[in-house]
Amino acid sequence: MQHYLKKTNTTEEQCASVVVKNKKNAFANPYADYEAKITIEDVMCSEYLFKPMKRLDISSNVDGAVCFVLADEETARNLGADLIYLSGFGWSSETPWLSTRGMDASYATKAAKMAYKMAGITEPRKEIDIVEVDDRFSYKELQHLEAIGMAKPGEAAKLLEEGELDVKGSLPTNVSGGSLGVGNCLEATGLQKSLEIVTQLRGHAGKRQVPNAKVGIAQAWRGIPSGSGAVAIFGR
Amino acid sequence: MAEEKKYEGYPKYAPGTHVSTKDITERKITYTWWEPEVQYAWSLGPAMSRFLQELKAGKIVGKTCNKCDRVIVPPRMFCEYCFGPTGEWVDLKDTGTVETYSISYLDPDARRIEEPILIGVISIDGASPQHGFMHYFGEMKPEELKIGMKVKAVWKPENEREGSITDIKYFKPLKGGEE
Amino acid sequence: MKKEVAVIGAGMTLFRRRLKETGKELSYLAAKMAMEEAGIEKSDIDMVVMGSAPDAFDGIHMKGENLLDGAAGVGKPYVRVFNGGGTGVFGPIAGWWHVASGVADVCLVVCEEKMGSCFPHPQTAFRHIWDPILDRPLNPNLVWLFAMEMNRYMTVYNIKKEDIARVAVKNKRNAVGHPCAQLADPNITIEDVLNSEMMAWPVQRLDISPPSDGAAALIFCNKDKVRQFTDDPISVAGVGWNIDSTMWTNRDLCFPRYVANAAKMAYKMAGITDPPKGIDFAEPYDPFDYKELHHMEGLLLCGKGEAPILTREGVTQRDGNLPICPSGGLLGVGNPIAATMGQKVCEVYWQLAGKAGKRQIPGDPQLGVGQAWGDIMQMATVMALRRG
Repeated sequence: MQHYLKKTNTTEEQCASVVVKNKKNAFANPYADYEAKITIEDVMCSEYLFKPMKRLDISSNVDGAVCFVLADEETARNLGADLIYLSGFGWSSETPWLSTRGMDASYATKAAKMAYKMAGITEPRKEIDIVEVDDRFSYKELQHLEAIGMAKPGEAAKLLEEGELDVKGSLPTNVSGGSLGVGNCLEATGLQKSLEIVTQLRGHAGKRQVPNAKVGIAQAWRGIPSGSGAVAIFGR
Repeated sequence: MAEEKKYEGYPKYAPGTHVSTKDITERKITYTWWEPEVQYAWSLGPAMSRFLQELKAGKIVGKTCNKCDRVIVPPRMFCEYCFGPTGEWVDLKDTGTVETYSISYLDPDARRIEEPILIGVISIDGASPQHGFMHYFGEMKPEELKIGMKVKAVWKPENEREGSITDIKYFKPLKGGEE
Repeated sequence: MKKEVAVIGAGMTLFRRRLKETGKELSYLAAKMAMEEAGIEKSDIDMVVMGSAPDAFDGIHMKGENLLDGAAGVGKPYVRVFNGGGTGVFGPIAGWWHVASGVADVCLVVCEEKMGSCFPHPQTAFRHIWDPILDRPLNPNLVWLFAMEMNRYMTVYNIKKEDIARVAVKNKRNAVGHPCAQLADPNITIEDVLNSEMMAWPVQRLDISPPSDGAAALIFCNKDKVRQFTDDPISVAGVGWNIDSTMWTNRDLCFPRYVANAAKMAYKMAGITDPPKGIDFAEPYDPFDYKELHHMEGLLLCGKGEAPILTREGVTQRDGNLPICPSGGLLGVGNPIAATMGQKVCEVYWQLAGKAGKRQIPGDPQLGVGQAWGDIMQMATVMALRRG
């Protein structure tokens, strides 16, 4: 976090805004467990656990299960399914050695690159309508948005402050509440994010529906101590 | 690291350095040591909770799967074959048949013991064929233990039962005429 | 749509009860050997699969992450798969997925196991596979489980212990000349096995394969590109996998129906309609001697209860009509759970490629099957390879 804040000139307050946004988003999500109405000051006043990370920057664990059923196109059509395609995916791992690992979430960049190529996406910021990125720690949401090419380094915090990452914004991010609002699903995080994207693309997201969502991206990180992550792109 | 010896055919060599337990206990190689301390509190779920409560009351119970037409013991919330919810609770007998067994001269820590432990799988009367659980055998000599033999549960006294599979002490041979 | 997949290299480390090298180093040694045989560099590898059994043996949580640098996975799409003892063939199946789907042209599969780290014996870690409610309070020893399955199999089909012990003798003798072998013994006899220490009747000490440290590697390649590497490709003919209910006390253990299901899936893909005729040799999983027989029947290589007869008649020797475990299997070479890929799939590849040296099966084997078995007697994984 220290490295990210310094490199991109992002502030702790901006990271705190992520927490505020996501916990607020979670109210509209029936299965979320950590919805809360809090302010930036609440986050800034929570005690430092691992400076600069404060208690409210860290998502809390939650139990749960998510299930997906995949089928080839013809079978899905015959079953009368509302077709949402898995149009691209990617995954990558950095070295396990903490001492030689980069700190720019390159696993997310590589995974996204593979997924975009498969999905035929050349301008992610333009072609993608909704984003779920891993926000296990508040700064991670901003770092991952930049790593997957949705914003330039340092730009994510600006987009957040301008409201672009809200449900009604130009780059709705973690409208499900993310890990900060839903709870940290650990190894099930990726599927929770994919579930949100599919729910949105089907138009079933109720109060948190992003209008006209046609293409969405889910990105997850394996969590400490790994440098592994994956990306999935869904489209109508 | 690689062994120098070359072999005909593949693998052409076998890399790796053999060390013995003594090399470790006599500190001939460098090693590091750690003992994890992990504790678990597992929730038992709706089906197992009831099963254990009934064991405490001195009864074995099962559950039906109406679609598969079977009575399942140990009982579960869902049937793993038809993938539907299970149905009603059924009281079962505490007698059964030996499906398989072993006579163990090793204790749980793999140490040698003189008096063998008799262990096996008992299918419970009242449940579908070959449905049962693992448990000890007692009040019999090892030679008497046979597949197909009829056995009966021997329970702990009521005040010692805790709601565990060990509320049954073991299964003993069912003599003719006994229920 | 599905791509044809070929094997272009394999590797294996020494197998011993304890090896000095770390898990990462063992992975590196096996991967390097496979890459040497294939003639490729790390940059030629598109994706990596790691197969390794429970984290509890190493005492390293998320051990797939820890091993990834030794498995040439840094900076690459890397995934770890695991289904207990089935991993030795499931790792290759996952590698096959990567190439058959078209997302990778070259996929490296590494299977590694370090059971020596769990002190004093991996038995302590094995205790945690038992159901916490039904089984663990009874303090079971893992050997009891296999003893119960062995007893059921022997009783239902009226099999004598000598016929089972014969498998241990065959495999430990077959392992002589395998560079990695932990328990090769050219002089072992049936009497030796029958006189060995009784552990949990009917299982005796020499019926069991030991825990081991070791690693193995395998490289898959899109068949469209295989001519860059070899003129004599060995292809994946069929894959299958199947799992049965965890409630093992509700199953008749005399026949592994999940092995038959996995085999049928693989045989269908490979176009094998008459397994005893269509298959030239097999490497079924043999952590215990009775398991080789049990799995031969599960693989539909003979009728139920008939495997001991074939063994008695010498059919399953290296020079017999249906060689079984020509590598020496787990009983002869060792049992580092996932790394048994070395005897099960790497061996099938080396035999088909004519590279098995002293272990080579005579004649011209065209198709071989490797099989592994895992979890609580529930998982079966099968892979068939063929010449061409």
